[in-house]
Amino acid sequence: MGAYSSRATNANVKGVKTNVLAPVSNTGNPDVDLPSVQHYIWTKVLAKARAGDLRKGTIFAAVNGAFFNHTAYPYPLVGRVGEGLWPWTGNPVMYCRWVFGISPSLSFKVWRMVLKGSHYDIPDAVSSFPFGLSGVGCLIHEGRSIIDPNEALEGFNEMDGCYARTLCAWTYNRHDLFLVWAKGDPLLDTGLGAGWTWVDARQFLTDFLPYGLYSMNRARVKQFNISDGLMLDGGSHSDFIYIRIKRDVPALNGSDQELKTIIRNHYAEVHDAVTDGGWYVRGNRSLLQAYVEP
Amino acid sequence: MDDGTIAPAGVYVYRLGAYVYSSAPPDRDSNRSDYLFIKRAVDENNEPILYADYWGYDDKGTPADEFDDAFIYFIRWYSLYDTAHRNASAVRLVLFDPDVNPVGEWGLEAAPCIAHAGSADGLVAIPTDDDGDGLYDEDCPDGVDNDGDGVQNEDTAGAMHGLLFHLPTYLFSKSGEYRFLVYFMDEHSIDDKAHRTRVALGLNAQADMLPILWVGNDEYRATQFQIAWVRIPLEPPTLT
Repeated sequence: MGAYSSRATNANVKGVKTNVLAPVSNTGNPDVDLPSVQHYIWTKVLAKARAGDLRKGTIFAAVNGAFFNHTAYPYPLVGRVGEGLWPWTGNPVMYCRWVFGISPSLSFKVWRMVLKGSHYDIPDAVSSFPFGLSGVGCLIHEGRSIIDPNEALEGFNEMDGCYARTLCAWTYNRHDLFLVWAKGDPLLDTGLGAGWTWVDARQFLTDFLPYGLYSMNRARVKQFNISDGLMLDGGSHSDFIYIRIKRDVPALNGSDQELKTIIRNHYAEVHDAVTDGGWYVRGNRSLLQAYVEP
Repeated sequence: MDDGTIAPAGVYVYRLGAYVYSSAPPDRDSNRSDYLFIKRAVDENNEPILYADYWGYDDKGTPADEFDDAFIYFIRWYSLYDTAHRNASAVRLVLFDPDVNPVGEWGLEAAPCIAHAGSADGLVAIPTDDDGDGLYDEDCPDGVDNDGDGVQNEDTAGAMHGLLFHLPTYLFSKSGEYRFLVYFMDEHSIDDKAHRTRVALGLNAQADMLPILWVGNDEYRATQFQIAWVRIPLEPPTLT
């Protein structure tokens, strides 16, 4: 008998980061300029493809996060985003919401925001975490389901609405991170379902995810113990993308659309708006991304 | 290779033979068994099955402790055939990581065989009389109508097997293609001039370990969802 010691390594997962997205153009038309997780990831993929540097085993995944102000344009951040530097980009918020931080070694921590002056901002302890988001909602904290809506996301009272959602969740041991996108929107006849309420999202993490993930042949992959789950966004701007490069890609030339088609059809497993039927106009001001580059 | 290119890294199985024609009688030797053969199964399209199936996850009843966990893989149907109707004497599995480094080796004698209700009979190489004519191993192992009765592949399966095996999850610490090499030892030391048991030409299979896995097109409360599951690998545990 003996005690085991180990530590997580980021040798494979090269990055789990947060970024602020810039508008994809500057026409003044929000629908055209909408910054998009998908645009961001595809831009990285296309740049690598043109440089002949897109290798088998490269994987990108991202969801959008952070709430934003619909009434202003370009959409200002509601909360802050860690982009690898301290202090984080963004703004304090009016309410006591939540913040999570990610370190370069992929450790992770969740805090409630603290009152600084007249607004709530991130605690000083976050300074050792270069990546993360603040101003988000909390579904589960240290294994405890957050039932009280005013605790989950103070100042927000639309939790009963069914919308598309993006979430992130970590297991206790920090060896599994989930970026989740629930489809659906009651305003869109997508046929994909009516989306989730906050309760649906929380119960997905407590009741389904720990026991419900299966491989392609329906074999259970694992039992998960979710310690922390955060609500990143909701509504039709919720966004998700996953691209896995299956074969080395030679240096490619052509328009963005041509290259996307080539990569999609011949070199990669892609899950984005196109593979979902193109129903969604998506975009937001920040994203949570994970990637592996061999 | 013959065309001047460099063979890609991988697990290659080979038979090395030597012949001496000047002796009387001529002599020969090989580093692989002359009796025991493994035949890889094919799928419904008659394509060889090259991948091991992920079969499940064994947390050993301790979901909070990941260091004793194991992946369960399934080497799909293969046939083990011995020309002298003897069973194999041993079977080993070697796991190669994506850099083609061997990271573990195990005996599989106790591995359950799906083809035989979970019994640990993976060494059995005696064929069954599949066509019920009282004869065994007609046409084996080449699938050609050697006995000229107009029927091919009679009893060619030898003894069919499909083994389940458990591998520690911490060995899968890299992303990429893992390779499983299964090799069997024959039971023909009495027939060998040096009284050796020899290895049959090995069978390999592959499994991909994705560090960020897509899970999607499933439903929860009538809403479809997609997940990017980021698997941050464990390092091998150290006893303290």
